[in-house]
Amino acid sequence: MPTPEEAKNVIRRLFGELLSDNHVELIDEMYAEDYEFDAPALTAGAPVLTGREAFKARVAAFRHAFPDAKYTVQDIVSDGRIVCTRMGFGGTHAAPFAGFAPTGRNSLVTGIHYALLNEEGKIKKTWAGFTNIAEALAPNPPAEG
Amino acid sequence: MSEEQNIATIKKFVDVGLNQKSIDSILAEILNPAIALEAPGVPTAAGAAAGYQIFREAVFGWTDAFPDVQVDLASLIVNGESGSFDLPYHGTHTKEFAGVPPSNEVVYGAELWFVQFDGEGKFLNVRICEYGTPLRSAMIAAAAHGAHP
Repeated sequence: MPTPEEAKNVIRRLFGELLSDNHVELIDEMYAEDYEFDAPALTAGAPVLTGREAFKARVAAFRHAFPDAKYTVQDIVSDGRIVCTRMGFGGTHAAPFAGFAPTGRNSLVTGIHYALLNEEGKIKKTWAGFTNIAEALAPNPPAEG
Repeated sequence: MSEEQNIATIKKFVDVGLNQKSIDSILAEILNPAIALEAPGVPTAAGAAAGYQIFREAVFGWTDAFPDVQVDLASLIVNGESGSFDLPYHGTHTKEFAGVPPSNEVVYGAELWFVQFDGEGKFLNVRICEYGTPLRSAMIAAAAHGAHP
């Protein structure tokens, strides 16, 4: 099993090199073959994706919708098996995503991401949620005040 | 504070504040008065709010609408002054919540919490995110055709 610091570095690499710098090919190196992705849901019936290829397609769809997306690791804790990340991403909503029409706005979305690593330090399962994704994707910007 | 003390504070919040519905008895002990809360539906433009009272009202509003709510600590990890926990729950929806009228059905949900402690071992920054089916959708579904875990 990885040490807590090794596990944190896997997730720092996920948000940096893989997602922010768009090196999707790292999915084959960093993810277990039986990877399970419990995607954040905006409505009932949260999608659960299985396998690297399904995740690559999800990342590509997200990158298409937010072509300049950059992720930030704000805080991170781990016991070596699970990594919990206080994170955020910013990007321009330029194309449809999850049924939401593009707003053209650049939004900062904050959330919490959990990753379960296997004995080899590969990402076996992830689940996550956001504090303000609905506001970010809504057609009208949130009211001030 | 030590990691063990911060873990104990989280467990006390979950056991006493949530499962025993006695948040007022431990507020001063576990919360920094300037606590900042980020959570879906917190009524500020930025989605973040500060202060004791907002945290109390957020917890009260939830336990008042789900008076028999029971939560579990599916995982709890603390490193130094930061900690996170996975909190599945279920409870009967008996009062209006988030604009959804009560169904008197049991509703299932889950949240991720990330807590940053002050130097005295009190919650200073708290972020809460739902995962899986959002509570509002689960409440509407429960009202329509009964709840399913």
